[in-house]
Amino acid sequence: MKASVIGTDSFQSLHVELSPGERFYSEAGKMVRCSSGVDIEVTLQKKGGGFMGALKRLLSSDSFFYSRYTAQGTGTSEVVIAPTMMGNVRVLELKGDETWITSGGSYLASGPEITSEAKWQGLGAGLLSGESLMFVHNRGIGFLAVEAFGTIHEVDVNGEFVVDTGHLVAFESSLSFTVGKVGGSWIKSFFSGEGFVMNFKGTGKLLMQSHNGSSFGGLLGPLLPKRRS
Amino acid sequence: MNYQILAPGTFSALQVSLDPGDKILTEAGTMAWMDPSIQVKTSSGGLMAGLRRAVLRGDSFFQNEYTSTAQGGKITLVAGQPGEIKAMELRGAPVILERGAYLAHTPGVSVDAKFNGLKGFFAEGLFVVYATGEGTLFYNAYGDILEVDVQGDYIVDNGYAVAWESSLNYTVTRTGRKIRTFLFGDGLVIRFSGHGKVWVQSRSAFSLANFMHPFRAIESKNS
Repeated sequence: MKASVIGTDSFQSLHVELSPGERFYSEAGKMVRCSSGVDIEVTLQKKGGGFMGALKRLLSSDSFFYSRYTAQGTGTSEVVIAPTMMGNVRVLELKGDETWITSGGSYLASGPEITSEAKWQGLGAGLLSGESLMFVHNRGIGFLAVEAFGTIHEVDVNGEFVVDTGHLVAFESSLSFTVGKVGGSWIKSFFSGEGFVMNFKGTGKLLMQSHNGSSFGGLLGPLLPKRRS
Repeated sequence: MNYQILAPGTFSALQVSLDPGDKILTEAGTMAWMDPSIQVKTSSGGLMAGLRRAVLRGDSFFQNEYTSTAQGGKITLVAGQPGEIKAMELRGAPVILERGAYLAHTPGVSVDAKFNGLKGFFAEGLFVVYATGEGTLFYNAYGDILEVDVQGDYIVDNGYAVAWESSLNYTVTRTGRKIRTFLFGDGLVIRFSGHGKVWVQSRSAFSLANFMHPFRAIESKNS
């Protein structure tokens, strides 16, 4: 199995090469194209999944379902998976001794031995951050692909670091965080328009996206006709 | 006539340079800027053809025809979505375009909407666009355009197919047999077989619309 990023900066996609019998998972409904020998099945189940797992995933802004791609036939098969927004894809190779936490629908795809479990990010933190209530904890051996809106920026945190909740893509579980405001009082934070931020602490890698999907949605949503429900 | 794709990539635009006697036919609403020597004539390409284009292809009713009264008059055409624009030299063999992928063509090419039969019923539109003849065809996409050389069988999600050579056979099917596949996940795919090229875009307008939907305001009950 070989997972790589293809395409130009603005429109990157994930390309996965499969040998016969190999399989991987993506968020449901994200496939662009594939070899004809690939069996595609939509499933609730993934390692560490199940119905409750699926329910929790919904609260993490990810899809309720996974698509499972299994290569059949004799030759090498390919599958291409695309993100929703314009922007980058990053492939992380997990060795088994770390956990990557993905936020707000940034989980795109993963190898068969990766478990992805939605967990409460702490009730208060979730409600206050205005983002999803759940983060997805990914661990195991294999690849994990994340999607982003815009460019992905990586930071090696050693000490403290502050990220706006809408710009977070993924981080290593060696980092702890609290949800807070951008200095000053809560009221000041509200009027500054900065909303909520995550204060990270510890040592580990952090991936951020240049653009905030909720801000873009907030810009376009009011310009669109009202919806019934 | 000659052309240049300006800023190829994310924000491509097509610039066409016309001498007197040259002509370019375009999708209505794609002209971005032009020299004053450029003249426009709007035609429906014959009533029936125009109707078919409008009603059944879902694109605009009218096709525009641009000419120039001076040497090297320039016109720039841009599609609605960010992404690539590409040119294709046609030499008789027809090419099929998905709805919305057509941008412009030179006079040697003829473009028509074609009923795709029931196999197109669940596809993006009932009709696809057939381009035949000899000349240059310009097409656009949302995202990058990737070329896939199909030898045998290949599957492309319905929302990502841009164009394909008519030498390929194709059917529109569901990805899985189970109902939940239809309701909740991957939708319809185009299964190609034979030998020929397929062009695929790297983003889906449908996915973006899905993402935006929750940001719309909700209509109040008594309005």
